[in-house]
Amino acid sequence: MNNHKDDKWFADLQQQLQQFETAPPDMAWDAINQKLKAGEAAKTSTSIPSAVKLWTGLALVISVVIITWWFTSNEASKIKVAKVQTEQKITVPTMENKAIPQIKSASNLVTIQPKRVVKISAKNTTVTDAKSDNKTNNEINNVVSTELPKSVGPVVSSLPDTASKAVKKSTNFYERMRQDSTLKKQQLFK
Amino acid sequence: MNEAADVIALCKQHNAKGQQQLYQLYSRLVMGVCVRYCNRADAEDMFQEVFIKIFQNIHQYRGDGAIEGWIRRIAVNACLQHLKMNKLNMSIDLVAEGDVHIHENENAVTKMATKELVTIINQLPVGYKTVFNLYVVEGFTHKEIGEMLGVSEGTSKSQLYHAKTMLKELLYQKNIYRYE
Repeated sequence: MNNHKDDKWFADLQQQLQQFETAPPDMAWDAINQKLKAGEAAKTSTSIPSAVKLWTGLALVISVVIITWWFTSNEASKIKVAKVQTEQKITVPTMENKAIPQIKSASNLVTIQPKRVVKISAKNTTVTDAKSDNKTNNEINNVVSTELPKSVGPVVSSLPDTASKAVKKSTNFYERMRQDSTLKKQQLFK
Repeated sequence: MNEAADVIALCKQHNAKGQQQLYQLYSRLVMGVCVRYCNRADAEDMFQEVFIKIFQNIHQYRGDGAIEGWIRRIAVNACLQHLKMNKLNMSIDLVAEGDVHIHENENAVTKMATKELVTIINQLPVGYKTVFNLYVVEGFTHKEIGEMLGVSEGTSKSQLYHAKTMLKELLYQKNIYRYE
């Protein structure tokens, strides 16, 4: 609290204003009384017995635990499924993974031209032979002079249908090439 | 005093009759405070709010000081809260406070009706009026006022200086205040 004793004017003013009172608006008490009653009523209606609070709290805790457990177990099963799916994806045999190494390791080597792309997968099989028209005689001879080894047969048959077809198709292609080449040779040396 | 103590005891028991008696005893005081801080319409709203706060918190009154002071404090705080909520501009440019020498005709001011004086004080800007009321009437220090209003001590001093100057001018215009 400050001291205004040395300032008489303000000291008088302070006293005068502190004592200032004025009449409140009419019916103000009725409004206050109504609000008080409403507040009391709200308090009564919202007051919950402690036993109810306890049981509600307990039920809440149990539900949280159950939900957490359910959620956790569900997540774990999802992870398992995901793992299995990943493994399945990895173990799907492809032509690139399985057939080509078998061919390369055969005793009678098959020379597959580097520019020829034979891409075989379980889902999609594509055989590209874009440069076939520009092959030199040597290249053709190389291909023609080779034969698919016998060991390729069982490998191809053990492949999935699509892969097997692709290999057969490819083999037919070499066969056609060989026949064409033989024909050309015959024509040349006539 | 005993009457007030009995009334307070009844109010602590949420007794409606006691509450009405307390209202009758202090309603004019509360309205007086509200009118000094707020305009008439807001003061009427604040008046109801103050009494509800009084009845809701009467159990906190331990009887250490006079009940009038406790009620006045609740009313002042409620009005300040209202001013803050309405974001009334409390800050002005800080002006160096000079020595304020008021050589007024003291009798002229004291003779005038308090109601008229309050009306003139209410013509001051909100910031000036609030600081003037808190410092001159309620007797708070500038430091306390600064904390209550969330302004610096210097701002409080500055506002009081402007309030005094403007009040003098208003009183002069009404031929209530005269320079000697």
